[in-house]
Amino acid sequence: MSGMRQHARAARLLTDFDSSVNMVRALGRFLRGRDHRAMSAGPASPLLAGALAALPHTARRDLFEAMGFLQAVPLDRVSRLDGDELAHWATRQYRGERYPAVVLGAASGAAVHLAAALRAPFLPQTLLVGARDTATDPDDPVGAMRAVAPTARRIAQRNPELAVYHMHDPAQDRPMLQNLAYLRLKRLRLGRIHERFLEQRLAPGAPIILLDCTRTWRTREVGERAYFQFGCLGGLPEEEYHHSGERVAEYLRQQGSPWRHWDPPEPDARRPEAEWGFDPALESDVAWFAERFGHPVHRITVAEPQDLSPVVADLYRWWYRRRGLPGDRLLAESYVQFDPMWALRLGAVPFWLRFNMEPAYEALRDYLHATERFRDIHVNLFSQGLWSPGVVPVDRWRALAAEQAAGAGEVLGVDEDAYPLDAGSSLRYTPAFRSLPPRHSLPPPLSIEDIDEFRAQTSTMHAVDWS
Amino acid sequence: MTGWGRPEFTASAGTRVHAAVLGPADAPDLVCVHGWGCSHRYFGPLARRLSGRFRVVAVDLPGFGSTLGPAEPLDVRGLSTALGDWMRATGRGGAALVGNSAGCQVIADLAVHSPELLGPVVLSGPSVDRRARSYPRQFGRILVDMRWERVGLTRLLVRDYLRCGPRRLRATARFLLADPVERKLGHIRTPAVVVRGSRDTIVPRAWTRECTALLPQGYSAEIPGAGHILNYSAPAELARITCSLLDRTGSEDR
Repeated sequence: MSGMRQHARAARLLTDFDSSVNMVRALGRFLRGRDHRAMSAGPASPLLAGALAALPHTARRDLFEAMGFLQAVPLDRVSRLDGDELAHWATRQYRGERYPAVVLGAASGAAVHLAAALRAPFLPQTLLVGARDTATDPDDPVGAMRAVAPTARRIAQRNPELAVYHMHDPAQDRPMLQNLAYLRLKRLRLGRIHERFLEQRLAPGAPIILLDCTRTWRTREVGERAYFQFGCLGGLPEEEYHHSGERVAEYLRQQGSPWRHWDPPEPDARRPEAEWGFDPALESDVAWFAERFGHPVHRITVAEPQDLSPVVADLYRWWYRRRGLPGDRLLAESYVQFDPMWALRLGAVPFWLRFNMEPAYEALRDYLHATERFRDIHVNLFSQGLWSPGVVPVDRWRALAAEQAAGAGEVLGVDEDAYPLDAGSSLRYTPAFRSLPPRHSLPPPLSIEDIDEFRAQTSTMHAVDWS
Repeated sequence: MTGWGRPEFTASAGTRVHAAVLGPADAPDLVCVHGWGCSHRYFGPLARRLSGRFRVVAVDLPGFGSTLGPAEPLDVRGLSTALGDWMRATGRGGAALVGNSAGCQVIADLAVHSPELLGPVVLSGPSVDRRARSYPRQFGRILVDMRWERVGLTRLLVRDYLRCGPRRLRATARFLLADPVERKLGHIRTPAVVVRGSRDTIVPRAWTRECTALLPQGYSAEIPGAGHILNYSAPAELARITCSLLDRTGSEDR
């Protein structure tokens, strides 16, 4: 009983739309034979999705803000949080007896499919906790930093295994920022909960796949192991957050902000990017554990989180073809709207888009240009509740899919009138994937040797370093 | 009445660790690590037999016996970290270790992260048999085993269990049952002997054989007619086996 209460408490601390939380939930459910409908946070319903998307603009915007409010955790609770609770939450999503591999480290939607292929759980380095903060203005980064720094310091002080990143991005997270402050907690030590999980549940000799993303961002230290990051990976380049120009002024005008530019605190160093970057401090513990318990460590290094998508897509295509399936359907998923179960059941090649912004669009375009043509291309898009600078409109996504597909290219599961304020988006993507034709049974898992074989056979150059 | 000497209290492992001590101050230390829910108390008979030659130190792990534990019961790593902390704090790194039952799991886990603290090791009745990691099996086996234990043990254990409390007992049992001790035994690189009582139902012979095979410098011994709690019910024989291990290694000259 106390275990369940503890579990519910930890789940309440976390944020349902966080990338790592969704990776863990999606894989936990996949490994139990289930899909990732509605971000594994409730039932999926196209009907309800339609009703939400049909609401007037302001109501939908309010809905996104309300979501932020509901996800936020009171400050006193946040400052008492214990990193072990969060680790415990993650390991409890996996109920299997013995896993043939484990993926550990930086967040990436492509890694969800990699782990699913191996039937491996994913243990995140970074988790998001949303602290309730209604007082600060999204466009006043200095004020936000000052208001939240004591909490960030407190968490860091109480949890020597964690680094705390207060991430503040008024471009992409604007509706959420009305009510909550983003605290991203990065694990610097493996910690006893993860160690126990690996000891008990990782098959003898099973590989540990360490996912390293070297992306950094300029940050400012606000205390020991506590940092403030202004902006994050998305539609705006890092430079534009720090020296905002005409585009940001125009955006702020549209949003009805009294500000015309951002004035973030002076950064003092580049550190691992709060959401996607990997802090190598964790590595020595992983190496130690692997050495003591006889597990080989494979390390995958990418410069950008998006870089893993092409290689995982190619791996899936290769795998389908080895099984005698055509592998000619591409399913582009965005942010946390992935579904490892349906990708496999449809025989679809998953291509993960980090978000719905220009860089993601370019990544998909470049991949489609470079690779063998797909017959069908389906693109699903996440909605973040506003026209952030850099959001790519639906018709451009559709044009890309149509132009690159040998057969049909389309945008799937998106209410085009409501996007990117499509409040029903997360309730719709799994039913949309499910509506596509073929059905295959789940294949036996790939082994790490299979992946080596794929790497030996593929001639494509991937921006990924395996070692 | 307790038969122990002056108790020892050490600030370590985030608490005040109690250890019962018996034997001359200048003799080499021999550290006893108790099993599930127990304490130093059931090591009394063994300590009396060894105290001529050793300074026997039976430690109470946090949450057991006279050592206060944290509110959240410790898992195996928590217990072994506490044991390691205490050994460092008392300068007992490298001392000979005698574990009974779950105490063996704690020693094996200590070997994973702090192998330098281990001296020669006696694993008496090492738990938990890989083939019987479930509550019904373990409790059934414990009940059957009580037949072969000396009178007085039950009373002593019940007192220890009450002291530790049902919540900690249950949580600790869960951690012990899930602990893959077979993956850790290989880290005990010092000379080690695995001892079982021939009538021990909790630790069958096949399991001690498997454990012995995993030890780089391990051998096994069996005490005819004895059950699981050898330190209480067959102390003379266990003392003999312990001495012969230490004679082999000459660790007294440390």
